[in-house]
Amino acid sequence: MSTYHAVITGADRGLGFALAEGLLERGWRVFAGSYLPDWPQLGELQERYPDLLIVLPLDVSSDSSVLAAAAAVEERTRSLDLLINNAGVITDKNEDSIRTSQDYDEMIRLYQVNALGPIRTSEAFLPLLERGELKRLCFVSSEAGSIGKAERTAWFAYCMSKAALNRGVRLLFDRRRPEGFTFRLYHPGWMRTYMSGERNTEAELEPSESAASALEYFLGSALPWDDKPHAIDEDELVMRDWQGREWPW
Amino acid sequence: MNRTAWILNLHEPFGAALGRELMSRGWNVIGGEPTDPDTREERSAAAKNGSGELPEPRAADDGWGSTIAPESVSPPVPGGDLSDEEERPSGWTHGAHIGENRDIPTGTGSSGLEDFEGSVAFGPESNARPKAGTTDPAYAEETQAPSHGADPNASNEAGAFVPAEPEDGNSDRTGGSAAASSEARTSGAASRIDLLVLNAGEMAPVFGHPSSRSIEGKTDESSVPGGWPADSAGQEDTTAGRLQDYETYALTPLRAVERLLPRMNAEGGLKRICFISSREGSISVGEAHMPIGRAMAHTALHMQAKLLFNDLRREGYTFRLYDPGLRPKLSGGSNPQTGSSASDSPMTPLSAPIAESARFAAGLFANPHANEDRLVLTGSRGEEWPF
Ligand SMILES: NC(=O)c1ccc[n+]([C@@H]2O[C@H](COP(=O)([O-])OP(=O)(O)OC[C@H]3O[C@@H](n4cnc5c(N)ncnc54)[C@H](OP(=O)(O)O)[C@@H]3O)[C@@H](O)[C@H]2O)c1
Repeated sequence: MSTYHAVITGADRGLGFALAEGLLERGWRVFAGSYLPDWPQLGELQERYPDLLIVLPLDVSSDSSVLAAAAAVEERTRSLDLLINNAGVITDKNEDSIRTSQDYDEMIRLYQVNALGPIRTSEAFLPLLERGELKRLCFVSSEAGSIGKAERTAWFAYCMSKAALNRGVRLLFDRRRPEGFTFRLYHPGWMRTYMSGERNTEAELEPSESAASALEYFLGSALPWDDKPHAIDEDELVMRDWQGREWPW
Repeated sequence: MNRTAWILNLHEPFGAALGRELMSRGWNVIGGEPTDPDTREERSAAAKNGSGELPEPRAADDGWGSTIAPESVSPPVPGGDLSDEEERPSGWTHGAHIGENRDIPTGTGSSGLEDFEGSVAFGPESNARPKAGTTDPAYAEETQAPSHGADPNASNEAGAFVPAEPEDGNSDRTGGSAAASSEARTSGAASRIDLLVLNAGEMAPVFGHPSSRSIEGKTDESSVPGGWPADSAGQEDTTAGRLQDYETYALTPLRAVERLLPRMNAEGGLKRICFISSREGSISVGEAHMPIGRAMAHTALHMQAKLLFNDLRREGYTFRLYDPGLRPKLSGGSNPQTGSSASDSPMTPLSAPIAESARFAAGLFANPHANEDRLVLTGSRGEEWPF
């Protein structure tokens, strides 16, 4: 069996790290995007998988960083099977209602990372993915990007960035699906990760639990929901959560 | 007591057309102006000349520095006779009523695909302007007290134009000072804002026909060459261009809401916020050859509208989210089509689709809706577009 290749953004910790670990366990070669060089987890993982894990400096908000990462990957492999756009940020200004002054710099920062980041990263890696077997682009979005289900009364920066991401993914899907690319859009659930700067111990899921569901969805061609296995329709783009449930736009 | 509408971008073609429509319905209109402060007084004076007309820009558009309302394209006198309408060159619409055009569905204004609740309240038939001094039964809604905090004393006489600072996509990124000074400048002119219209960016007519894609997802005539522009090159595909789109279509409206909301709280105000968007931002049906940054920014705007709706609806605010069926003008100068669009050519008459869309918008914005508890992306024929 030939080795599959994946790139994961924001893999230092949280869901991205758990996804990297899950793919390595499956024998994949993983290029793990690292934004936080001092965080120890990826280093420890590399000791366990010295031949399969390549740590890649990657800031998805920077054109030059993304292009440099794509070039670095291309030096090591001529094709890529899977790109997981996972990196995402939140802001401590979430709760600021419209009655208080908004932080527009934060809005631009979140948009750069959460919305434009995955688009620019996908664009940069498309040539490598085109030569891959799976040609799969995965996006970690959020229920917070569902306009139909939105119940929040603030959270402008984060919700707007994730809704915009969903539109960007849809547009890429419409353009690239005819060329054989396949897409996954995922809401990972509420996880005990580091988005707020420190580990959120109150949340519902361990990142490894969400990563297990995610990999089933990202790699599989069927998924259980409503307690039944369902074939994934590659010609339809939907956002699914860790339980396979579809979220409205 | 008069009602006052604040229009973010009061430029030709769409913003000014909407302003005229609202004025003809008795509204005072406050709006954006180009940035040159030296010319503002001049315009202000012109606006105060008693005509109450929205001046047209002149051919060499120097930022509305001087006010010229050419005879041939003279905007309708507020409350003026509809015969004025007939003198306009006809495009794909012909009469004063949208329903007179065979291309436009009549009846409820609904596409029929999904029940468009309340469409009778402002559907095509009820959407023409009343003649001066007459009471058009189709306008009964507008003269009734709207359901949420509307001003029952609102007059139906001709409105007035009060110039204000611009709120277009070029506002500064850091502090929203344009919005701030706008607030300051307009506070004397009209302290209360009833209707806030957030029409960021500029609109140009879609070539061929305002509808671009049916709700079933099938494309129609404007999807073929000559319809929406192909994926544009240049600025639109750079990070700077995409960020600019976000600033223009998503952040600028939010800045305006943040700044102007205190002015909408006043006792007796209508408290209505109207977003002008585009179905480009619809994840379900937006097309693939749109510039990606602009499409994404419009989706962000839809989310913004929803979050504000969730918050402010509780305080009696009502919302409109409107797709005028016009294409936002490309930024960055990369689109060869913009050169021929109506908005670049102030001396040419407003194209019929823009006038029709603005008229529909005025009805949609001014009238109450049967279901104010649901935010709907509404098209210029009353149809509902999914998110
Ligand atoms: N946690 C939840 O409950 C939840 C819910 C819904 C969706 N999500 C989504 O799930 C994804 C993963 O988040 P997580 O919960 O695992 O959060 P996390 O623990 O903070 O992990 C995100 C990773 O992305 C990195 N990152 C931040 N900015 C980056 C940039 N510019 N370029 C590259 N990497 C960057 C982070 O580094 P730093 O630690 O240095 O910031 C971090 O390593 C995100 O897209 C998030 O929006 C999370």
